[in-house]
Amino acid sequence: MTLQTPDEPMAHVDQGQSFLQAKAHNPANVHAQGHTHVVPPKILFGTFAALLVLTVITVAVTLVDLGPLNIWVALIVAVVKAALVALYFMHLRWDAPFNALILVSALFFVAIMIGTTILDTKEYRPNYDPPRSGQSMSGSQP
Amino acid sequence: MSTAATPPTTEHGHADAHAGNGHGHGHNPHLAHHFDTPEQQFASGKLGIWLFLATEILMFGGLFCAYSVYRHNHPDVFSFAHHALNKWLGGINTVVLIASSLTMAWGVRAAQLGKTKQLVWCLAATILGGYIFMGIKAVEYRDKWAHNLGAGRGNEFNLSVAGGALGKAETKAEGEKGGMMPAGPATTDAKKSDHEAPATSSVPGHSAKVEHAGHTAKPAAATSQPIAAVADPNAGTPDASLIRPPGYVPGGMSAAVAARHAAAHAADAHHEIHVDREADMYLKMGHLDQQRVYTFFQTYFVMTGLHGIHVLVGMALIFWILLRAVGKPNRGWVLPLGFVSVSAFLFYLVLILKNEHTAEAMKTLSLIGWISLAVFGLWFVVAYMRAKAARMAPQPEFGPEYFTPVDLVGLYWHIVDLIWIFLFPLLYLIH
Repeated sequence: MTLQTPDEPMAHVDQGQSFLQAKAHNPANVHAQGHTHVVPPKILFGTFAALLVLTVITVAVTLVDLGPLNIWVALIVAVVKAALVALYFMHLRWDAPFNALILVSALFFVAIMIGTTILDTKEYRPNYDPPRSGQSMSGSQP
Repeated sequence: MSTAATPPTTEHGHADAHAGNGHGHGHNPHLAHHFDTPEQQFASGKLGIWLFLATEILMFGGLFCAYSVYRHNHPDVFSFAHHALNKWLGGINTVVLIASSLTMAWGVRAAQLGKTKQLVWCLAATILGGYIFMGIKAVEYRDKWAHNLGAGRGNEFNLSVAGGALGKAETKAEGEKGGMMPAGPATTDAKKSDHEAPATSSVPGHSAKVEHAGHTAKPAAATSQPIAAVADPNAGTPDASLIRPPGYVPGGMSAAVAARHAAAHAADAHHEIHVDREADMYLKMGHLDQQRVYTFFQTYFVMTGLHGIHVLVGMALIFWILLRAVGKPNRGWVLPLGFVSVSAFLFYLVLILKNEHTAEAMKTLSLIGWISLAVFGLWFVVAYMRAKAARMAPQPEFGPEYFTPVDLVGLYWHIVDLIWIFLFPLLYLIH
């Protein structure tokens, strides 16, 4: 870190701002570095359309019997939708990568929480798995 | 970051140096003194909101964890109970939230470009989306209560109260809450028979009878007499009185389902098939699963309820952004206009929630609605006239140089949408 004259940071700010204003007039310039990123309407509406299509898909899939795959299809569609929202509506695609890291690590810890809990639940399951249809519990009484 | 070496005394030095630089920017009034540059301030704000959103994800993660464990252990409960939810209303709400996310993202863009008018309309549209979402949610919740599938005591699957001595006594006192079930006489009959059960359940002969009904006669009873009584697992054991929740009635739940079944028979033949299938599913469930149906509704109400609170908070935050976006003279009349919209929503609630059982509460609610409409309407008229009389140029707060609050509130709104994206398939679309 070199010592700077007091003027230098301000010059930096001005660059950022004039850059932003330039971007406003030139949507093609969206990928360059700067104060922030303005999302072009085409991407906004494209994301919206993709989310609508995926919503229709996730509803339509429930009408088809895929057995145990249904829940996984529903979850994958949900994850894709969430990724679209996070990347485009929430600007993560153009944001500082650290913000994306926060999101991913939160999801990671949720996955650990759910995963280990499910593993543990499996261990106890035989103790209170209910009998299948039509049986009563009177047979299992002490 | 690159400016970290700037001497600490340059905070005001900046302003002076900057004012004279001829670019038309004074010292950025939005730059807090503990930040070096607007970029740094913006990046810090983003970092802060993302950390907050991470805590939100972890909070909902706990609920999703509970959901996973419960669904993993009781898949039958989920495939049975989710039929109570209306997947079309849930789907419309999904689209509403996605659309409001679009208007919010568009609003952020408008703020970045300094298009104040566009920003204001986008924020208003986003708030409207929130109202539509909550309005549809209100219809859904109302339907749950109307079918005795609400939260707490309003749920026929709630073992601790359904038809029980405790529940019955209080139900009567509250003016026949149980009467909200579609079956008028059938329900009361079923509940009455439940009600009498606990009085005699201490008699060994009775518990033996119940056990018998659940044990052997069940399939036969299922055809002749729509649904048989479910045996109390603790019947006849010394644990019976200890383990049972107060007011527990053997067969209480199944009688409630039978009542619905009878009601559907009476109502129309078309509906009958649907209810028959549900009743059939219910009978085929494991016995302990039958007792756990209520937990699905608990899960549903807690998850969607907490999400709904987030929607309300998001709407309030967006309204705060809207006030700042319209700027000083207009803010005065936009504020009461927001309260007027709340009054309008109250009237909507009165409209959809009103029936013979809620008449009293709705009378109070509509009174609140009228008073607030009058007060805020008057406030709006006066403020609007004053703002016009002031002949002051609008002073919007947001533009290319400062739009951080719009962006951060937008991120909050998107995370609300994001959570719904998972809630919708997991609660409504169970196959």
